[in-house]
Amino acid sequence: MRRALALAAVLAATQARSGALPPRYGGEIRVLLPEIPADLDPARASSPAELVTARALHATLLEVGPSGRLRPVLLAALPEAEPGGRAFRMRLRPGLRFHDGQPLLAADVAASLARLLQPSVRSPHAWLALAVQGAEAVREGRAASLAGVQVLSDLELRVALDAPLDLPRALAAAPAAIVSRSGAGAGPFRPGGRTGGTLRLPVFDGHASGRAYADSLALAGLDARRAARAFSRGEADLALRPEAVPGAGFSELPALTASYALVNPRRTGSSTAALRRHLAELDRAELTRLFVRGPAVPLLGPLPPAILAPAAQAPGRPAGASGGAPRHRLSLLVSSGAESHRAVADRIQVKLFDRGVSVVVQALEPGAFAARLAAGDWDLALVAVTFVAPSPSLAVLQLAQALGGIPLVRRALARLDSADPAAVAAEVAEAAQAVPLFASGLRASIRPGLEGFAARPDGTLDPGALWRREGPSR
Amino acid sequence: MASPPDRALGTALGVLLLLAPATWAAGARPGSLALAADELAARFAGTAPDRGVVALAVAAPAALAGPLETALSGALARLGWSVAPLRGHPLADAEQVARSLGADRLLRISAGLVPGRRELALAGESIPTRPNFFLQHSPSVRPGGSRLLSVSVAADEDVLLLARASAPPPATLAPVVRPLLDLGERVLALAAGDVAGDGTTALAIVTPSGVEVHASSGALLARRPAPPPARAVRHPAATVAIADFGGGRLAWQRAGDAQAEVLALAGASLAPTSSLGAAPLCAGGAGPLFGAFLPGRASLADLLLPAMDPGAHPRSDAELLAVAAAPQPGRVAYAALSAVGSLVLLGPDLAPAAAAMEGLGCGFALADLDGDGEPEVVASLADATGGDRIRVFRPGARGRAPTAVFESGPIAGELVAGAAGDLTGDGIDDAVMAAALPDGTSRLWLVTTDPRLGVGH
Repeated sequence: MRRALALAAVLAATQARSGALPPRYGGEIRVLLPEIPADLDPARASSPAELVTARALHATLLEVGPSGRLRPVLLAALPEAEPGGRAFRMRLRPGLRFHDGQPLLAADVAASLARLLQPSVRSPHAWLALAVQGAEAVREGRAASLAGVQVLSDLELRVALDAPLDLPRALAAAPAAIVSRSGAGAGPFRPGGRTGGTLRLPVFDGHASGRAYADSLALAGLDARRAARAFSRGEADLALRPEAVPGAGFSELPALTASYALVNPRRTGSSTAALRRHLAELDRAELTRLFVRGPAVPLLGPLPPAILAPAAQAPGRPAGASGGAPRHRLSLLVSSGAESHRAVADRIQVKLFDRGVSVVVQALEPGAFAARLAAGDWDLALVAVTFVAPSPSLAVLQLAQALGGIPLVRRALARLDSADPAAVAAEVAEAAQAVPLFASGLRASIRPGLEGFAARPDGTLDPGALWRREGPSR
Repeated sequence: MASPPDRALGTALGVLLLLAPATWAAGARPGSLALAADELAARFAGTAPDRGVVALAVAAPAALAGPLETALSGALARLGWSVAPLRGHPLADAEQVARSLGADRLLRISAGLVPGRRELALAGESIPTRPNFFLQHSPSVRPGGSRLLSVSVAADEDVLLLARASAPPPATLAPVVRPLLDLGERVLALAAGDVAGDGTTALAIVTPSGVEVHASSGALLARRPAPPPARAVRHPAATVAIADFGGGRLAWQRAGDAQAEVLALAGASLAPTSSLGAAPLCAGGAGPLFGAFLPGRASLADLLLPAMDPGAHPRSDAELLAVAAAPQPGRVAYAALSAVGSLVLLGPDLAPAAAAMEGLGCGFALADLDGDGEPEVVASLADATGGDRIRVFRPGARGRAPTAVFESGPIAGELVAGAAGDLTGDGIDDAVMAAALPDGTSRLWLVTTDPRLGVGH
């Protein structure tokens, strides 16, 4: 009797959690982002919110799993490198389809790679395909397709490079998603309607990794206060924002958005070196701690520690002491879409004033900011780059395109053949007159009962893997 | 006033009048008790050609003793014996009582169910007890040799009912839980049964890369690798069952596969023999069940079919995760786990047979571990510390909660699949539970009450 009572006590004490159950299907997963992207083209996705949305709507040939290992998505297996590593053979899974029902074939892969390079697409990720043979012809509009991409059959293709590139990891980046000629994707969710600031995406049954667990994904762009309110009312399952939602458990995504202060030598002339020196002498740790929202680290070199270990960072060459202070007031351009940049710019304004440099901060809408930058109509600027591939050699290329455009990517590609990526990154920053400041990321606030969340090294997640333990929400 | 021997003989005569069971009178097939009694009486008669008075002492589970005594009395009476039942006397005293009654022989019988089998066994002695002139000064000495008698027959529902009613199961079980087998992959589905058709119990294990058959010792017998399913499913899932599927005794299907495959074990290979249009959910003593995976999902439709029926429609929109069958069904023959972790216990007719159990994981099995004719639920129930434990429950009657009768120590990983069968060869069900470990491998645990396996987990 005593034994039976003891057993009953033990059983009662340990009956606290349900047994192992597989994920549940159904319901809607509601995700809060800093903003809802207006442009859903994966080739132009650059902010964390755009990249997360691209992962929901589009599928890549490969993906980086939570452990950092590459795994096939649209491909049947990992690409096979030919001797020398300058060509790869790939085979698609059979039976793939786009959201619009059209079959996804090797020709679509070739077209999607070429699309990254076409001037009309204006992709900030042309670097992903710039090493493929024939990239120049596509860039210049002389060819519609890449000469280095051979479509061997409906499911097979061969990609030849004329410069070193970690092609499998490049193909795992969200902007390298495969889209149909009509723009349809093949991601776990299909495009849906926008209602009241919410983008509702119904599930796509034919996704290459299998149907997503949720019936739909609702993406909403809310500020911090409204996000907290939505969480407290049980109206959100996941928030991806710089700050954690009060009362919710959270985990930090890798800090892959790097911010740089750029100096425009065409406008600052002989003062360029002095300005870079002043910027390089800023206390980046203090700047990061006091003025950057969300998880952030000071940048000791051009690449974020999440991509490259800090010890391996090659600091930029110290700016020369020649040249005096600029004679007139300088403009410091910031994008209103970049988290914390306005506060950081104000701090830089104060610090430069202490050194006798007068700066006016101009905050512009993202579109206007990009236009001013492209036109060279700026003295100083704060630029954010969200790295899409957690690979040093690929990050160098992305940095080069973001800071110096295609010519700088070509120079970096040529240097990567013989130099360490960290050293090439330092050269890129030097060439672009860029001073690394900090790298920041997002915090994922997770409502209890939401399962399947696993941050990937590329800062994104698989929205199709999310499910709710308590079942459908509506 | 009649003396005690006279009363005993009177009782025997009364029994004689009550004999000839109703089933015989109606021309129906005699029950287990009558068959066993007739068989034993015939053997007894062979040991004692001279008809006379026989004292009958029966030791059996309480509810079974009376009917068995009646059946034996009737059978003996039909063979010409006068029967004096010694009800209420301990078996050890029966011989002395029989002598005091003046009976010619004592028939001393012990009876009961063979553990783990639907079998009624009767064993005993035919002892001469007639008073002997030459032994009148040594009454305890037997005048002749005794003869051993034994009979066993298949137990029908009446016998099972009487045996269960008279032998309440112990409050707790103490099975041994010990590692059986380690696998380098995650286990998706498990089944135990006679894969080869030779009467031996083997394990069928489905993993993402194929299906394997292991001997009850854990040794690999055969393996059939398989390419990924035609249609990708995010969470791999499978069903497997061992029964006669016509041409092969193993049938399996993964979520995403177009059809189930039937395999025959031939030597060290698993050869495909045919395909099935339905998912083989499980198979046990009450027969196999068939169902269907929901398109593109790792869950099953609410469909439990005793035979394949391509036109069958799910009973509801509910999703099932796993279904188990009891090798030795009793009141409960099947168990189906819903997507919310509710385990529904069903009888052989698929009607609810016991109170549903909540909060269980998908690693579960129905196994009659104590051999009482009623399967227990061997299940997983993770604890708050993140570990898992194997627990054994006795199903409650309808509307009554199940009773927890055993809990193992912590098990690494999560229990994700279970199966039941007699793996140790002791005639009583054992359970096998598969734990998925964090590194992607699996460990299979044997849950057994076979005392030969000693102390386990």
